[in-house]
Amino acid sequence: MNDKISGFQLYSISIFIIFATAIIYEPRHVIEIAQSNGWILVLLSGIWGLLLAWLYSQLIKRGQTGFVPLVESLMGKWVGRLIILLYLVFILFHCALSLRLFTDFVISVVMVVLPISVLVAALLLASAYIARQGITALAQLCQILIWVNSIFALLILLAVTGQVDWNNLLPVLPEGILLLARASWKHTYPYTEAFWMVLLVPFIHDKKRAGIPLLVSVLFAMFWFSSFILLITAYFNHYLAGIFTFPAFSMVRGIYLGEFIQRLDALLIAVWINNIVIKTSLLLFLFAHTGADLLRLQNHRPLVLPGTLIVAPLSILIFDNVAQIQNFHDQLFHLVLLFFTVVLPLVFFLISLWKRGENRAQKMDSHTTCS
Amino acid sequence: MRYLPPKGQPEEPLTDAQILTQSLAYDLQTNHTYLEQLLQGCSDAVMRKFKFGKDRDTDALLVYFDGLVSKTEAEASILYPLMLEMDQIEDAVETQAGNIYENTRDRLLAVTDLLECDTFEEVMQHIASGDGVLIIDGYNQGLVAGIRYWQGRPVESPDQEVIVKGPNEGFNETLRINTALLRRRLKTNCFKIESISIGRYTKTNTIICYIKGVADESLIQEVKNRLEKIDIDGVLDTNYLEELMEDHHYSVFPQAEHTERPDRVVAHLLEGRVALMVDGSPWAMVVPATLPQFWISPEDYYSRYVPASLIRLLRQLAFLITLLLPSLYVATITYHQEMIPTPLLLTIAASREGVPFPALVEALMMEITFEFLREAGIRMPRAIGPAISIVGALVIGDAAVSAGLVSTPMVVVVAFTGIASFIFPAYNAGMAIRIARFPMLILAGFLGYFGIMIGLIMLLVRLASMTSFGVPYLSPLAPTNQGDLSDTLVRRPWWAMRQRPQNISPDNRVRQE
Repeated sequence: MNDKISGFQLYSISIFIIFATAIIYEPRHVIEIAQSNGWILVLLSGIWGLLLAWLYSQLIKRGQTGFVPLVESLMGKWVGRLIILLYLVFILFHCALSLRLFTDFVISVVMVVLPISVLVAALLLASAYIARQGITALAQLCQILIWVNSIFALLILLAVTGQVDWNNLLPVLPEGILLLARASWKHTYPYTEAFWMVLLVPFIHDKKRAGIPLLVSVLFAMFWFSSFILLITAYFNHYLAGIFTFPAFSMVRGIYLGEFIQRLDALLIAVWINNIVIKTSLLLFLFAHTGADLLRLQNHRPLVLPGTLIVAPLSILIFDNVAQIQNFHDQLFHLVLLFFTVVLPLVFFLISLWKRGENRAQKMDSHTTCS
Repeated sequence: MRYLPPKGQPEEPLTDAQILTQSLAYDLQTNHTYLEQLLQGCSDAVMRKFKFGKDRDTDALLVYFDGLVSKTEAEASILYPLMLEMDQIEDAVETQAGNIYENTRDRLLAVTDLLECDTFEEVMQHIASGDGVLIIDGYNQGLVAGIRYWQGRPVESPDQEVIVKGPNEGFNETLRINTALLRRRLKTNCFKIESISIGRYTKTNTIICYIKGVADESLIQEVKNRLEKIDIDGVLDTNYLEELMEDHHYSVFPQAEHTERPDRVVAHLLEGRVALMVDGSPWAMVVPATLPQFWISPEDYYSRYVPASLIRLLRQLAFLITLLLPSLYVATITYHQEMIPTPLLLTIAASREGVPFPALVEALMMEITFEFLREAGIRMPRAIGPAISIVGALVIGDAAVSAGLVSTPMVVVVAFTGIASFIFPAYNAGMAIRIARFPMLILAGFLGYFGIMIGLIMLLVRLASMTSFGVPYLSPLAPTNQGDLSDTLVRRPWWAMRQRPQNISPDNRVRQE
């Protein structure tokens, strides 16, 4: 089978990874900070997201043979390898954290009697299986599930619109847009997840045009995030929405239209499971693939199982409870995420620009000498 | 010159395997002896020895299997011309006495299919296929007369793929009739039927059909390569070939489409696929096959596109119901009761009161019982079929509920799922989905909706990683091909059907200008 992913597949994967955990936790944070204007904050942070998508697309263009050779060529062999090693550790940690965030949501709201270990094991088994199948299967899965998720999300949004009070969105920008603009940077982290597409470089069919699916996925995510937050705010008002840990889920649970459209939470759960399974699968695949590149292995498969075995206990033991994990996620994690998905990529990009300039100068020199 | 070696018994007895590799001898007696040895214990083998020629001085031997040849034709086309009419040909024997073999071949044998054979293995293969082999003394070649005839089913309506509107002919067990049914529909020399013999003992005549210029050359070559690699004692049906040739041996999902309809095979050939048929089976196997192909019925193309599209959507819904309905019911009843509207929840709770089993066990019991009944319904003699149906209906529908073993909603769910599972035009695909619903049920019983979603995702990934002769199994859904998709989820109107599927026939896509 051809191991290349098309533009639409890249877009689908990017959408899933952007939404995966952010859609569960982000609404509350955004509403807490921006109150009734959360939806505007999401749009503003999306502008940063678009810039980041452009940055990632530039790295994809430069990393023709893969992420590991790219970093090694930019940073030198040993520093490059060290950075890759850090990335591998971070991928596993990120995978464990994402898994824990989701399982905490499930056992605290949906299936309170289910032991967390069972859910983690089930999700990881599925993710490991998908990661073993390779990127082509994963991309095809995303290609199908994106339609499922879009239809379900659209149904939910349409159903909610019948029960909202649009006055809850007022006042609009009472203190001007600058305050929100300043806060917007902190909320770019869902879009920074698009960085992981850079690690898929060898599989991207059209690297030169990879920027389009990335930009479209960020735009799409902006639209959906903003719509969800707008409806949550209009449904509850920002005081109530800030109280709920999972306001999106609480909103969907409250849908009751025409005495027959009700309890659509199954749809939301389906969407979230799709998101989280694809995210953990992709992270496991990226760990295995990048690790295989680093160790010069022919196949990524031998590294999937070790990765899974590290993530499983890590996701269970990493934190004691949902409050702790949320605290860590809100206070520290997004900074670490920004380091790996913004700072380092920016460094790579700047070095690549500098090296390109240097190469050009050398060429010019040699050309002058010859002539 | 006619060579007449000294007659007599062969010096050393040979084994059957050694004889088979031998060329025919010039001496008829030697050939006769060897054939007798090879056909020892074959009571249906006939070896008719006779004399012919001007002075009745030439010995000949006609070998065939009784029941596989037309005796009337053997008498009229072989024995009668040689034994009686030969005398009436003035120059036949006198002028060409030295070349009686050629004379017989070119002027006397009145059969349309006439071949020559050189070895005992060829002789055995031909007579086993229903030909008669004539061996003349003094010549080390045999004449193979195509006088095959046996009792077989006539061309009838297909049993398994019933349609309301459209052609109603089905294949039968005679390969030549089946090829004729195809050839009648494809009146072009581009339609090729290549033959290959498979099976060490059965020597089953297997054909590869395709339209040259439409089917991808690499696909044809791949099919031939895989066929040539098969080394098995016998092939009795196309399913043998599917299992031996498929890309993924550990999948419950079929990787080739089996059909007993010539019109369907032709439709696939026109799309660039390759069909395989074996002698003795009324089923044709079409490759490559993709999952969406299995919810397409030939009737879709014989009726208006709007109703055909709606029915196709109905089949897709049935696909989901078969796979998911029992699992959704079990998950909801066990873990997610809050998702059921209150009036419905009260009804279900009332009917489940007193049922001693958890919903998962209840569902498994009912599903397995339904499978028992389905299998019994297929295997039982037709005369007692209605009796079993009544017993089944009573046991499942009434007695089990009255006894408090199962709840009424569960009966409804299982019955509805059962009906939905029979909507698929492809029996083997329906079977695969029925099997897949059991793991889904178990996952639902243990993990609720999460289990179902995990199961569904794993199933999708498995299907996404599969190929059939190199073509992605989920195409054109994934990888998405929007052009082909419009004739997958719904039925594209004929006036818009301008191109062949891209995955199947990438080089010659134009169907209509």
